[in-house]
Amino acid sequence: MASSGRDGRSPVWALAVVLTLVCVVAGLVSGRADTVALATPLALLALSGRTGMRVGADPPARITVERHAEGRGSRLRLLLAPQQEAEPAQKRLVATTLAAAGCRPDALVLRSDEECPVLVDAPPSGELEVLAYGAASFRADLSDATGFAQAVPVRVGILPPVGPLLAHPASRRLVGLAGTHASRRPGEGGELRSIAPLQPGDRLRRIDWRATARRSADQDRLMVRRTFADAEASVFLVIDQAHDLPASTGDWFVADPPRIAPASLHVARTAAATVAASYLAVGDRVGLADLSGTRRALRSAAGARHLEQVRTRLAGTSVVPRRRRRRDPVPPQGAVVVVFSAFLDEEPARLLRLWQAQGHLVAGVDCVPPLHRTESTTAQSLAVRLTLLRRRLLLDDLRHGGIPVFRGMAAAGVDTGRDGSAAAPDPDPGVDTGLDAGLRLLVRQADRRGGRSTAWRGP
Amino acid sequence: MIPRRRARSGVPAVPDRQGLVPLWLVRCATALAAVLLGGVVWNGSAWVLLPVVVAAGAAVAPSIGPVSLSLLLLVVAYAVNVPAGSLWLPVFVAGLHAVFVLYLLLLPLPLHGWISRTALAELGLSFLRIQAAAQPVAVLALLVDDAAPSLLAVLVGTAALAGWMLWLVLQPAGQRMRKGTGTTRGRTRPHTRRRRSPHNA
Repeated sequence: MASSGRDGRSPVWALAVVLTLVCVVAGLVSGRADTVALATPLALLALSGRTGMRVGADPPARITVERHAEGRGSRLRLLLAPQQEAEPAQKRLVATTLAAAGCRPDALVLRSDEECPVLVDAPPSGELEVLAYGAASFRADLSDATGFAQAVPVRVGILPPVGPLLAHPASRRLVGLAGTHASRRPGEGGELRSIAPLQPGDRLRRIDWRATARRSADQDRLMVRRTFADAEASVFLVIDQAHDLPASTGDWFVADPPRIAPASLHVARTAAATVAASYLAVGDRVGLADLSGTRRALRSAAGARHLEQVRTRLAGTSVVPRRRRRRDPVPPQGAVVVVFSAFLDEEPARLLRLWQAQGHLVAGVDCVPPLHRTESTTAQSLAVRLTLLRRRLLLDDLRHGGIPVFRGMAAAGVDTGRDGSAAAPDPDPGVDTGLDAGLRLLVRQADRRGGRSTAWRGP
Repeated sequence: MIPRRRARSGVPAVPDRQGLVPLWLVRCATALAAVLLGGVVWNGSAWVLLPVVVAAGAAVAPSIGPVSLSLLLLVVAYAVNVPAGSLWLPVFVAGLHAVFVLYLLLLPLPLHGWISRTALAELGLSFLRIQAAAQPVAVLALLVDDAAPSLLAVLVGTAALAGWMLWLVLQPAGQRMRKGTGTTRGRTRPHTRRRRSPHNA
């Protein structure tokens, strides 16, 4: 039943022939019929296995995702189903070899008409190959075997979870004619702008009779209420996918870090999904881009369907080295720009400063999860300390430049350890506050100053 | 700095259903059967340690070498040590067959895994089907064991065996697969119904 080359003989047949030969020769030479009789089952196996091995490209079993699981590190349920045979009356056995990432391979031998659910570890978010597998089939007498055929690995995409809705600061330079934010343009809206005498073009239903009675003593002129126009806000989310830092610093130096544990990219996905859901819930527009420039930016749009598009795009983000771009990403006019990054290099900080100078309301979200210092050598400890020092200097520079940077891990829900115990957060004075509180303060500050300045003064 | 390779840290895929037997149990049963057969043929000899060690090795770390060695040790030891006409013959025929099937079932599989009970039952049914033909031959061999050996029978038997082996070995497998049914090449292409255009109907 094992592979022995194209159209080759199987080990079953070869070993059965050899043993039959040995038994028969020994029996004939010694004149013992019982020794010859020993070879009977082996000779029958050799006869049934004489057709050789089938060599097929398709594996005799398929694994499909049984149900869609979302985030939170839940185990994913797959369904292993052997392929239907051309002769269903003939029962075959299918041996499937399963290899999850970072694990020893396991075998699962089933009859060709039975299925088996398989549980594998799923990433908290993102796209990942969770299981590699291959299969071979054979009859119950080990004859008519097919060679081992490797299947395409099972790849799943887990959408990032959406946390509780957050505050949604808006720029004062709003565009659009629909939404829940009061713009600075006169028009149809809910926020009072002024009370003025009726002029040609004013609608009659805007006449304020109380103001008319109060201000027009002679009853010779009518007063109307004028309002600011309602408009939608726009937010531009930028994901920095150049790094994916695991929480355990010892894993920064290994060749194959654990892919299931939440890392900085998961924090970025979750925080971005939560911010997008918060804006889209009130009818605002959300756009999405990445700093690596590998894909086209997701255009700014609104609606529940757009949230699914954003989450799908976020689930597809993986670590891609940053490459040179011809031009920097351009946020929509009057958009709030939020950059989700681990802030390990200058590029996200440079773009934040650039967009702030262009008049956008900007904020950074620090996506490094609470770190566990598990370095094993002095050189590793030094490297980690230098990396964290550089990161702190970058964050301090941003703060001094009036750009707020919030912690993103609270939105991602990774502030607790695997065993449920609270993980000790890495004290980082360069980061101001949590994402929810930070956005709320940003709303208050933007409202207070009327959008004339976007400098951040801290909580 | 050369990145060190991380120790295996993932969580293996596990089946989520009842009716599965872990492969280590099958490996233990295989080793036990081989050891028991070795105990029968090497009865009272210190050499029994040899088949025991080889059988355990063949079951735990399956490879074609230890498997072949273990089976050959059993066969040769039976021919040498067990007297003619022994009533252990039917047991040995069944045991050798079972050990052979289990060894070669486990040979391509990883060390850990599971096998379903229905698959084991299917293996058992196939085993019984072959034993239904092998056990009468064994009984017949016990009955005719007292007859004097005939030179003519030996020559005819050897020639027949050699011819059969040559037929098995020399005929290319691919040619036989084309002749046979149920194989990849022997299968005809499935009927494909062409969708007719409504304009041509």
